[in-house]
Amino acid sequence: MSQLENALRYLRRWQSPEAQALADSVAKVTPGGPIPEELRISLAGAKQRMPVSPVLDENLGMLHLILGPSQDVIFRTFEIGATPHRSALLFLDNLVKKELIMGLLETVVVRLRSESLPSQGEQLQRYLEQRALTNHEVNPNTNLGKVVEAALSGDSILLVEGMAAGLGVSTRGWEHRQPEEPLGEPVVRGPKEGFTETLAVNLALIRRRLKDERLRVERRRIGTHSGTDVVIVHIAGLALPEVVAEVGHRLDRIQIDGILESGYIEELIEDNPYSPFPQVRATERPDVAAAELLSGRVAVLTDGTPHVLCMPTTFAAAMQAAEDYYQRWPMASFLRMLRYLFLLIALLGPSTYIAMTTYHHEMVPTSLLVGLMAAREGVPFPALLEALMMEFSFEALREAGVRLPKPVGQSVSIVGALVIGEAAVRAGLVSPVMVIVVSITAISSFVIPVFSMALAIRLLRFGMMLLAGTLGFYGLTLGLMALGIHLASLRSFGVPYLSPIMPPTAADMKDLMIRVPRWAMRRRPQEVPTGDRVRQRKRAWPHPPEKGGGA
Amino acid sequence: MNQRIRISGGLYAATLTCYLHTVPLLFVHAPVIEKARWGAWLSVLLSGVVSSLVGLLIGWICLQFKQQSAVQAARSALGRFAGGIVGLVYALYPVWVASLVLRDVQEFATLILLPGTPGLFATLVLALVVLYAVWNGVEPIVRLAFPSLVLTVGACLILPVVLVREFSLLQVEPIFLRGYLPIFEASVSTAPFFGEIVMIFTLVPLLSRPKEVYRWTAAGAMGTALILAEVVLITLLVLGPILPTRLLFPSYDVLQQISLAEIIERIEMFFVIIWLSTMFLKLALYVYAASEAATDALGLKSHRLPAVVVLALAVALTRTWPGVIPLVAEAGTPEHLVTHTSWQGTILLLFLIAALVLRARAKRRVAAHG
Repeated sequence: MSQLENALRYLRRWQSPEAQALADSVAKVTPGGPIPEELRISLAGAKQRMPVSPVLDENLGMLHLILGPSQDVIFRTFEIGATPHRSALLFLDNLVKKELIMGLLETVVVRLRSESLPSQGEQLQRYLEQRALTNHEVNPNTNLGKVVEAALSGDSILLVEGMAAGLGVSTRGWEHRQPEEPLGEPVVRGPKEGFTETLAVNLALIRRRLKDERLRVERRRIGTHSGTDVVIVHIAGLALPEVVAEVGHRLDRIQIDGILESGYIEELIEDNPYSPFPQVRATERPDVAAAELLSGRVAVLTDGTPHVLCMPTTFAAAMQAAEDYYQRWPMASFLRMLRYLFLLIALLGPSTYIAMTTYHHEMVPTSLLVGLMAAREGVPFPALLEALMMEFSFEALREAGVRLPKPVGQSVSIVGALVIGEAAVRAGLVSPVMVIVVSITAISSFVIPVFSMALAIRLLRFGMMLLAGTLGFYGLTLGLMALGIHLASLRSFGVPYLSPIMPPTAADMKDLMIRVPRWAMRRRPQEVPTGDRVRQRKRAWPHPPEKGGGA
Repeated sequence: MNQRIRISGGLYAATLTCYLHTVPLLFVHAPVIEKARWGAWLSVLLSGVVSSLVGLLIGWICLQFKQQSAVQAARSALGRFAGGIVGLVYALYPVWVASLVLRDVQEFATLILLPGTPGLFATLVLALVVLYAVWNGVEPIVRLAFPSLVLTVGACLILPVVLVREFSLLQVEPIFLRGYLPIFEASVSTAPFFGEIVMIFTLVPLLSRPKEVYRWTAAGAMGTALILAEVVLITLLVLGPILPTRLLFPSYDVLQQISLAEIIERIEMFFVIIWLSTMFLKLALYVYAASEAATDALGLKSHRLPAVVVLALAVALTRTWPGVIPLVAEAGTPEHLVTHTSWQGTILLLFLIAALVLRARAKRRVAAHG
């Protein structure tokens, strides 16, 4: 009997108007002829409502129709038990570990060869689950939708004649990258491993750091075509249940064909979709994710990407690097203050230069002004145009540097540096001072630890330049005010984005510009809604042993 | 509208100080120094005390409103029509002041910062940013007041240090050289500026702890007085008692004197940026207050459209005001005093009546329930 006839029998057995309509469509297909894609799509759309049949051939017929003629879909049929039960194993060739498949087949075909298996479907299922299969994870799937989902995730599905369920056996295994130092967040002192593209590995990296039974993992599958596994991770008792529920609610709201990177999710769950500022923190570092979880935040891990999202987040969090907490606190504080200073330069450097040279000459000391004007004497463009040319060229170079293959990228960098730094100045297109300003600005933008924040600042810099070029410091002030209003109105999962500055929270200032010693951070930040404020015991500061005690 | 938004006492006081001190920073010198000379700073402090007392009265009125907005309370006390009229009277005052503030900024920008730039262009750009702020609600405006105040206080702390070389102590005269009366007269001339404390009718209902209104109102008003007193005193010490009464913007002239160790000089623009930020906040708050009052008075749902109308009206009004010289000459004159204080007094009186009606009604209700 052909697969088409088996499928037809299945649909006729499944008593529902939907099944009857589908059966009519299947009946129209010429035996041996091509099966229309529309029919396959209709069948796939109804798969979640299709129960697994106790007749093996019917199941196989339906699964063949739903999965289509794909080369990597394997149906291995065999018999199990002393009174042979016809069986089949469904798996996807490249998503499974071959050794596990071999082991599974050995278990069910060889070891059960002389066993008399129960004839009743439910008893047979219980027998296989509890007495036969030795794999670490076995999940019964009672509808064909679940069977297909499990197979597409790398599980192997054991279907047995008489059993109205497909047993999903975990045999997942594919080529994946080992944890390496994250390129986007390198540190001198600190762990050198980063998240990978495999969800299970990423979860393990967090679990290794937080050996806490209260670490909760909630799984979701998002994307009608991609079926991407997304998990919400939080520590029960630290993260507020309302925040966790809100994250879950926002994830459940997503209706999309595919999630290929956590950036998709970020854009779909943030509070203000029009803001250039990141409202959730993306990190490649397991230690950062663990620290965020310890602060009472929630992490969202997405299969297929090393970027883990942490929420809620604030502007101040984007200025904190992982290493701040591994280096000694005076140095960490110094670096943090430096970061804020360079943030201002990254945002306002060229615009301040434009405003001063175009409108407010009186601010520049006379001797410097004479030098500046002399340098700009041969430049035919106004300062605004000069700065825009330089900034656009630099942005193009930076973008090219990212996109080009590494060896070519270096050559482009050299050419770019020569063209911009030397030839443009000699040709009189730009002044040497402008080259210095743009260079300092470029360096400044790399000082910001969170890349998406640096991107936002880079973008806003152009707006500031235009304002400074048209209205000098007056325009710059208005630009800053608009930016301030925007930032003050932003929230990340209910947390004000500018906290602890706006609204001011004195207790959280100790981890803002100055990072106080670890023993002084007794409590978790107030800006994050958390169920437990206390981070460490009282009087945690280190001291030598009391007189007469200790070594 | 926005009744769920709550602000802390500290932010409330910061906002009050920000919006109250910013305009007098430019214009208060001439009237007070002309009358009280070296006692001018004392007059400003005295105004702060009086302003605090008025603020306490407003606080008491707002407490009778039980966290309703003042206009909503007026509507429930006096009826929809009469309450609506009160609301519109309250809404028109910030529109008028906002137009004056827009004109002040425009004059300062076109005279000092951007000579040759069309005033209307500078005003329209400012108005657009203010509209953006108002559309985002009162919360970001109030939040932005905190860093603005921190910068202002920082500037006040730095000013004596960087100007110490310019102090001319030989000009100093006894404070009461002309007796006590000029001090009081000068204090009265600042009433239009300090009388703007009536705008806390918009802020008090937002307080997270309404009972703290007295403490924070006094703090905000006295903070304003301290800032202005310091600036007036520094102006006197640098320019003496004659020159500030003849200059357009004495504070700016004082800032231009900064020269410390021949490195820290020509930094007046940084102070101007801080001042501009407080002017912006004042404008945003007033436009918000006017649009909120209009929304409540007319029973509308959103304050966004009224905000556009309010701002358009304020910009249009700027075209009718005179230029900078009459503007400076006008400060402290009896006309200036009467126009401002009568409007402020009317608002205070109308809301006081509403509060008394509500109070009497509440007492009757208690008596009826035994």
